[in-house]
Amino acid sequence: MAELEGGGPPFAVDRSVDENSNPMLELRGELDMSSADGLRDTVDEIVGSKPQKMVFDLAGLSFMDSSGIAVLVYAANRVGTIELRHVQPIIRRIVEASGLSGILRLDEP
Amino acid sequence: MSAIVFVAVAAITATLTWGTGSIHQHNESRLLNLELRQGASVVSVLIPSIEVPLTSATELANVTRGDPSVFRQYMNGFVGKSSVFLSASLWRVSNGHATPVTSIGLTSPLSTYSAKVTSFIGHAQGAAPFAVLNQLGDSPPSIGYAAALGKSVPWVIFADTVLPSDKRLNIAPSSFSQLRYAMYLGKSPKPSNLLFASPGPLPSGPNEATTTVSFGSDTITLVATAIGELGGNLLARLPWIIAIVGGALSLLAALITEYLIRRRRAAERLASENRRLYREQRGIAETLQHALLPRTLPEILGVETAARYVAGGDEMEVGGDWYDVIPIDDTRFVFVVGDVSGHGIEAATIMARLHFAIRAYAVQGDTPETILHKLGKLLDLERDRSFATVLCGTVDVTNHAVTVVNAGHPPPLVLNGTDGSFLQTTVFPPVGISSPAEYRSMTFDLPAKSTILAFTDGLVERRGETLDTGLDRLRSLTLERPLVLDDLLNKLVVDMRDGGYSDDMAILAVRWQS
Repeated sequence: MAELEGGGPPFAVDRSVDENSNPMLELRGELDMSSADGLRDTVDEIVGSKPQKMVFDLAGLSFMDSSGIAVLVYAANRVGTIELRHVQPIIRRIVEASGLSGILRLDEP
Repeated sequence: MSAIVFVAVAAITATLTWGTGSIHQHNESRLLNLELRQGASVVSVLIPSIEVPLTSATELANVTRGDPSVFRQYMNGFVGKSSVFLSASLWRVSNGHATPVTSIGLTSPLSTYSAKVTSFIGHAQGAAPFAVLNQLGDSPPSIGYAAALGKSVPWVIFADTVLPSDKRLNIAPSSFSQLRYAMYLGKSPKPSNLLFASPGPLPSGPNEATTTVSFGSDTITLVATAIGELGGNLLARLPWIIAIVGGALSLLAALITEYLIRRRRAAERLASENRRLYREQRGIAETLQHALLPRTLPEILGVETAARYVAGGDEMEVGGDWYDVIPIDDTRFVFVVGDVSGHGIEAATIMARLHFAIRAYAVQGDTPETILHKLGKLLDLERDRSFATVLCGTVDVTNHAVTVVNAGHPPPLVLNGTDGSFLQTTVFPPVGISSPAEYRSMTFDLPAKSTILAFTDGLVERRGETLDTGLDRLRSLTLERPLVLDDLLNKLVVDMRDGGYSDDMAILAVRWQS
């Protein structure tokens, strides 16, 4: 049933810390409903350690659907501050069109 | 040499026997889980028919400060021998103490409610919006429901449903005929919590599959086992065939040929069986989705309306997109296009909840801002793992005006002759995001003979391009040449569809006749 399979680059997450030792997730590929649950589990693990701030590096993210946005908003609700880095124009537009640039702090430099 | 061949062939035989046996087991359990998930989706979409009338009645009681006659009038259609509920009652709760106000459908007086029921009602505010009371052990077995708005609102609605005492139900679709299934109230499949089951013994055993559906404050657990082999008998026998075939080493050459032939037939059989199951499941998902969406849109004087829903690339699953048109009076109607994030049972359940709730709110005269504000109470990203983008508006047909509120949704396109432009709506956060937005509507005056095209992102979203590219493509396609509304929508669902990936999509069009 090849018709069921998507053709885009597979989604991958790298877990690390940023220069200020905040937990950081680097997202690559296409974040959609098939990958959103896995990312949410990773976010839950990080939220469990009660960080002040959480960083998402979206440099390698080429697509995100509403299931993916839901995970980012979920993280924003659970952690005091989240920061999105290297947001590509395609992703930025999806977030803006969903009325979430304020909640995901995309308006800040 | 022959010893080596013997050992080698015996080893191959053992491996193949184990391998095909394990493939068979895996395939059976996958098919069973697929069937069960579709069963759960049927159950999920039925739950709003219980929940929504009661939560709407609570809203109504809050607005009317518990007016008994308004309550009885509203609940009248839902209570009776062949209706959803056997009885419904309105209560005033203060400090956990419930006092009856009025009831409908009960032959005995209000004071005969048991202490268990009144205590349940007294604590329902803590379990808002919807709590479930297990009375399956009573005679006759029944379930109680309480709907509440929260601790600050004293009005609580109680209703109950009586179950047939044999608890057996034969579901008509052929796809369930291969299953032995049972539905239990609660998290564990205890016989005392049985809601209903297929005729015959209850499903149990090592190969049972289980799934749960949330039901207000409680949970429904579905359990199923297969009757016979879901993937066909040949595959089930294949491990034995191979074991016997492999055992007869003297016919090695002939048997290898034989094995290959059988193996191929089994694979062909399995493939065709899978194709059949796939088609069947897809049919169920489509039927379900279309059952949730309006079959025909209401006729509205002065405008023409049309709508389409197209399932996504993985048509096995129901989606979360919907549209609706709800007349308010002779010249005004409410229209909605929405999209619940995610797919499958969860998204369809939330979609049904929002869809029916909007109908109730619109009918009672709420404005689009109020409707969206109230929807915020029905969906919570933390709890439901989803949010919903919703475009909700009121169309004033005679004044050519449209008043819309946009919660995270793509803007509607307005067409007028050779001109097409997207309505510059303020985009508020979607419904279900924790901090409820102060939704504000915007009113647009449109020229005569305008067409409004509202849609979900599945129509314009493609991987690898920005949303604006998709919006531009939609705009230029609609302006290619004038078409009657139905032809325009047919053209869009074909031409806008992405070859590789596709989300589900809903389109709603409204065109003024003058």
